[in-house]
Amino acid sequence: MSEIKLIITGTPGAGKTTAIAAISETPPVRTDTATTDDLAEVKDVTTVAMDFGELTLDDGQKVFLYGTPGQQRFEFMWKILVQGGLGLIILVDCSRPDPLADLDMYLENFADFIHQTGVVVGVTRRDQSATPSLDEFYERLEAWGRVFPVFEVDVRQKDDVSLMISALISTLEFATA
Amino acid sequence: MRTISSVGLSQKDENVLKALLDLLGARTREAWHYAPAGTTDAVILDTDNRDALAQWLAHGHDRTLTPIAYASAPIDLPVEHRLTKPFRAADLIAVLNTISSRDTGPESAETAEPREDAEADIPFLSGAIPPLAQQVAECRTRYLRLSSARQTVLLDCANKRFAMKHPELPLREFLRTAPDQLDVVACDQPGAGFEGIDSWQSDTPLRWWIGVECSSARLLRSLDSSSRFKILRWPEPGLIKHSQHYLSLSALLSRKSGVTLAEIASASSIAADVVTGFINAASLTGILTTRTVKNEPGAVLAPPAADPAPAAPVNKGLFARIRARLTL
Repeated sequence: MSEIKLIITGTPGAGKTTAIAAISETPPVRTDTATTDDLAEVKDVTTVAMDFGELTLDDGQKVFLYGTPGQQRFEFMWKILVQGGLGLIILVDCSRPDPLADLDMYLENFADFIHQTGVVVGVTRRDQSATPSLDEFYERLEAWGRVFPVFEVDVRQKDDVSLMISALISTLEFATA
Repeated sequence: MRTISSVGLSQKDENVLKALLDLLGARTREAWHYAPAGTTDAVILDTDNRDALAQWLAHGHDRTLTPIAYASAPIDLPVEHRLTKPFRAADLIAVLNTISSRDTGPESAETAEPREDAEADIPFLSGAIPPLAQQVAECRTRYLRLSSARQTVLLDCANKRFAMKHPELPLREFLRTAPDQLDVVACDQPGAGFEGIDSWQSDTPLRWWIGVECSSARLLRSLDSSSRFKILRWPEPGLIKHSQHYLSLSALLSRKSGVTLAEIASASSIAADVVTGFINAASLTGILTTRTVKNEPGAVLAPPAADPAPAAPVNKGLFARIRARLTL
């Protein structure tokens, strides 16, 4: 059986590791190390290689969930992780100074992969900031032509993570190759 | 002897219907026989088959026919006779006997003249009162008040909000109330009990569920069934997450060039009334755009070049298994 991979990326602290932990049937494998940059103010450790979780389908096939490191300096890992991936989820932390610029950065860096597959945007930490509006996120996606889903999510909730994956699967099946 | 025809049935269902009619014999009050569509006493309409239904509406209907809606799930339509798939002999007998016992009145099949506005006389497709979704779409007053039993919902059309009194049922369940049990009043004053109310909510969920539940399988008059439909954004998660059909329809309507009803039918097995309800809901909540196909030369025949190809069949099975694993 070929490996089925779903990729979760997004800003540091947006909840990639938490999202995988919420839905993975095994405790996620993590590659954390102590935070040394500005991010130390909001989290003690950060992912430097990848997070890894899995789901088992009814025929025994595994779906692997890969969480990328968030910082752009680990961009080389992004290219490696998306190879053979089924689709992408981008988590955007609304408590950061410019969430729309964050989204743009990930869209740009994963552009080839998104063109080939599809993407779902999960907007997190909405309790800390009600801006930007979802309409503003959709405006950033307009250039793609296809209307990708943008959801406000709490990645601690399994149902919210399931919804993002279900929407991604629907996008792959009905709105993309 | 009475005759019955069908529109839009699968070959298998048509064969089953013919076999049942042959076997029913003396179990119905009158003898019923299958006949080609056109001059029969009754017609069974597969309301899941939107194309066939639309074609029948445009060309094949006659007011002397008694329509029987045949659907995969109970549908909220003001139709007098209905059958749920698959065919069951007992249900079919009951419906046919009901039709036989009905007083046919002065306009019998032999005397009735065809008429120009035939749709207006098709009981389950028209009626004097348009579906609630249509009433909301065309609301010209400040408020619409919906009441059933003690529960009342007030839609403030001008300010995109609604309020509820005695909320005994969740909104969606309330809107599933049979049309003849739901009192709809257009008014310019909020009415008793709503003066000074401060518990207004965004009307998006109300409009959404009205579109989904109260469309009677008919597109809003403002929508052209030959258009390409596209959504500007996905509906809120709370409105779509409990139905895989809604996720699929959201994705279909997210395509670069939008999608036609025929393309939806070809890409999915979603029942026509669900598709219609979803599109109406998207329109009522302001997230739908349309593009008329017939004004674009060649657009009907040539698929939009920018649209990606459908998912490979091998992935279809994989996607279904992943969905089954997630089970929202």
